[in-house]
Amino acid sequence: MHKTTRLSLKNGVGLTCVTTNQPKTSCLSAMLVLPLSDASRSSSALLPYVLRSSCRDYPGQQAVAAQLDRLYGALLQPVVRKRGEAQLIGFAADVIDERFALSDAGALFKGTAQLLCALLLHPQMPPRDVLAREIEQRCAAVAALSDDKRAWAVRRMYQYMCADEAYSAVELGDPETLRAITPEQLMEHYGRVMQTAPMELFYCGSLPPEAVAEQLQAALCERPEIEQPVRPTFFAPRRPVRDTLAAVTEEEKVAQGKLTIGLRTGITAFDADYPAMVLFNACFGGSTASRLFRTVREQMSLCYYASTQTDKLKGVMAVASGIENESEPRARAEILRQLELMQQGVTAEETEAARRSVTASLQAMYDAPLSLENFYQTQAAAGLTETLDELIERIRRVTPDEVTAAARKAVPDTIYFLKGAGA
Amino acid sequence: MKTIAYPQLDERIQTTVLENGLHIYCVPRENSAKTFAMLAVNFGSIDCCFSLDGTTHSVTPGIAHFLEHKMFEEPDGNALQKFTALGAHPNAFTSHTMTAYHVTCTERFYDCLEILLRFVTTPYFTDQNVAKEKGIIGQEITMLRDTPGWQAYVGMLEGLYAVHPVRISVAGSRESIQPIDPAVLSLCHRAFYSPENLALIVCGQYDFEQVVAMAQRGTPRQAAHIASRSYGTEPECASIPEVKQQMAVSRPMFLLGCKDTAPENPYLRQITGELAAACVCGRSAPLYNRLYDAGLTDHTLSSDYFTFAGGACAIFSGETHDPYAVRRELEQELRRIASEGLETELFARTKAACYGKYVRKISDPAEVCRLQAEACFCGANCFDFAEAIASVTAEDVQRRIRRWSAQGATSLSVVEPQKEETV
Repeated sequence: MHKTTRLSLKNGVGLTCVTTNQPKTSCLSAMLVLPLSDASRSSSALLPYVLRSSCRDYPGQQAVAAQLDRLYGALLQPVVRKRGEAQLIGFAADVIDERFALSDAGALFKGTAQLLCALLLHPQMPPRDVLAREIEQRCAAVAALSDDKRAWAVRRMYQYMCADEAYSAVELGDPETLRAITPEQLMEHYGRVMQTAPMELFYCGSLPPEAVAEQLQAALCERPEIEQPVRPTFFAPRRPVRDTLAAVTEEEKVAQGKLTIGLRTGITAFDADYPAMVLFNACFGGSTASRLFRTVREQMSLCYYASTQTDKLKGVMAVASGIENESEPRARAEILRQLELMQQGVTAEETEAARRSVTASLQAMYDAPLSLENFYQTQAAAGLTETLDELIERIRRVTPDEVTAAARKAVPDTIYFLKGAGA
Repeated sequence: MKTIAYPQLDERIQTTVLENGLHIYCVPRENSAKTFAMLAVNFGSIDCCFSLDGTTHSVTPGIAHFLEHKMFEEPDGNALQKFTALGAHPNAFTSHTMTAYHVTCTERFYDCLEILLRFVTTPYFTDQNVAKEKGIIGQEITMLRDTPGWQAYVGMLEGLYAVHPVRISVAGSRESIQPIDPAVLSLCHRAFYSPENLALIVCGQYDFEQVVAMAQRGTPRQAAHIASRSYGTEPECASIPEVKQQMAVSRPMFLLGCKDTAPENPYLRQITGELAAACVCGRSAPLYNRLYDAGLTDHTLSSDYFTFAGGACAIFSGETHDPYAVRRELEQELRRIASEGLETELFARTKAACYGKYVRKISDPAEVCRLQAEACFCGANCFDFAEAIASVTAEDVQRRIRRWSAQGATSLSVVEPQKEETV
C-alpha cells in the first residue's frame, strides 16, 4: 500500500519518499535545518517569505499565485517551524495527483517542483519597499502569536520554563531584529545558509522514488555540495532543572483563564522509552478517554478542554486547559493529583485504549500527506531514520509498566496561568 | 442499491434509502487505512423556530449544539468512552445548517457503527446530566468569546441579517443555554432526529449489505413526522452597515459580507459563489495583488461563500491596519466587474484552482463525508463538483457579483485591538 524510501541526492541533501496512491494529492517540501540558537534566526525566518516575493523567474506575488492556480490551485507555503532546538525554514507544496488533471497530465509534479526550486535557488535582490513590506508582515505575524490565547498560554509557559535555553526563542524572529535587516545582509545570509545548512526534501505521492529523485536532482543541480553541514544540537535535560515548582500569573483582557502546566520528561524521540511516553501522553490528556478529559471536564465540569501535548525533540510536556479564573486552584490540584495517580500505576485497560487510539491516529496519517510531511521533516531535522511503521511497531510492544515508568519521569516544572481580566 | 460512478475522479457512491426514510451513502476506499462514518442530521442552529403536530415552537438559541453534546450520554455511560475503548476517534459538530456525529477507526468498524446508530437515535437526558453540560458548554462559549475570528464572523452575520436566525452564534450564549432542560431537548430530538431527516455516510472499507442491515436494525422502524421550519422574512439589504468589536488582538481583523439572494439550487450556487468570490479577490486576482503590493493586506486575505436555508452571502476576510480602505477597494472592484465583466484567463485559472481545491478536499475520507452530508441535504452528491464547476459561465459569475455590488448589500465586521484605558 505504501513504501518509504530514504535517499541522499548529494552531500547535504536528503530525500524521503512515501510512495502511495492512496491520497488524491501529492506533497513536496524542502526544508533547511538551522540551529535555533543562531544569531541570524530572524533573517532565516524572513527568508522564505522574501524568496517567494522576489524570485527571478516569477517576480511578484501575482506571478507565483497565477502559476499555482494554473497548477489546479496547488498550495505552496513558506514554512518556519521550531522543533526542539532546531529552526526549520523552507517551503511545503501540495498539488492534486496527475491522474486528476483535466489536461496536461504528467506536468503537475514537474511544475510544482520546478516552481519550488525556482523560489529556493533563483532569488533576486529584493527592492527596499518589497523587503520592508515582507518585514512588516512578519512583525505582524509575531505580534499575532498572542491572538490565539490557547496556543499563546502554552508558548508563554515554555518561555518561562526554558528561559535560559535556546528553546525559548521565537522561531518567527524578533521584530526589532527583523526591522533592521537590509537587502544586502539578507542576501548574504541566504548565501551562507545555502552553503552550510543541510537540506531535507520530502515527497509523498504516486510517483516512484527514482523518478522523484531524478527530477529533483535536475531541479537542484545548481545547489552546491556541502562537505560538512552544520547540524543543530538538541538539549533535553533528563532531570528537573529546578528544585521547586515555579508559578507565573499574567493578566490579559480576555473572558477565559488559561491554565498551563509545563513538565520535564527528558524523554525524546531519540530514546528507547519514547513509545511509552507517547502512550503516557495519550492516557493523561491525549484523547476523550484520557484521565484529564474524564475528570477535569466530564466529572468536575470545569472546562471544555483539558489536554496534553509534547515536543518529541525537547522532552517536555504541556497540560493546557481553559477555565474560569475562580476554578484555577481546583483545576490545578486535580491535574497534579491525576499525574500522581498515574505515577502510582497505569491500568492495562487504559494502556490498551491509548495504544489503539494512538496507532489509529498514526495510521490515518497515510491519508494526509501534509501530516506525513511534518512527521518526516521533524525526523530528518533530528537525523532520526525511524519510519512511521517502525514507530507504530514499537508502540505495539509497550507494557503498562513501561507507561507508568514514563509517567514517573514527568516532573511538573512551571505553572503558568493566563488570568482573564474580562473581555 | 444504486451506484453512481464518477470515473474522472476515480470515485463511486453506493446508495439506498431505507423504508423508514434513512438515506445511506457509502464511498469505497479500498486502500485507505481508516474508515470514517458519519450520521448527519438536517438540523442546525438556524432551526430554532418550527411547528410540530400543529403547535408552533420557538426554542432557545444554541439548542442544536447543546443537543449534540447530550446525545453522547447513554444510561450505561458516555458513548465517547465506548468508542475510545475500541481505539476509534469519535467527535461531533454543529453548524448553522446541520448536526453531525462521526467516528474514525482503523479496526472494529461495525462495533463503532452500532454505537453510532444507537446513541444518535436514543435520547437519554436527565436533570443532572443536563446541568453538568451547562458548565462545559459555558466554557466552550467563553472560549469562543475570546476567539477573534469567530467573533468577527458572527459580527458579520449580525450585520447582514435582521431576522434570519443565522445571525445568532451556533452555540448560543451562556444566558440562552440556561433555560435548557430535558423536556426541550426531547422535543427537538422528536422534531428533527427522525430517520427521514438523517443521512448515514461511510467512506473507507466496509461491506455495503452489512451497513444497510445494521442501519435497519439500529434505527427506528417508523419515521416520525419532521417539524416544518420557519426563518422569518428577511429584507433584501444588509441590516447594519458596520459592526465593530474590541478584543485582545494585535491588529484589526475584518470580514466584509455581501448579502446574496436565497438560492434555488444551493449546491450549484455554492460553487458559483465560491468561483465569483475568488474572481473578485482570490490570490491571483488583480485586486488581491494591488492590496498586497500597497501593504494593505497580506496572505491572510481570503474569499469564501456561504449558503444556507433561506439565504447566502459572499465573505471577504483578512487582517489589515485599515479595514475601511480595504472595504472601499473591494466595493469598487465589485462595481467594476459588475459593469466590465471578467478577464478570460483569470476566469479559466480560477476554475482550475476551484476544481483542484475540491479534489484536495475529497482526498480525505472525513471531508468526503462532511461534503456529502452538505450536498445530500441540498439534493446533490459530493462528487458533482467537477460537472458543476465546468457548467458555470462567466455570465453566471458576473450575475452574482452584480448582486453583491448593489447599494446596501454589504456589511463590514471589524475586530480591533482594545484601546488603553486612560484616566
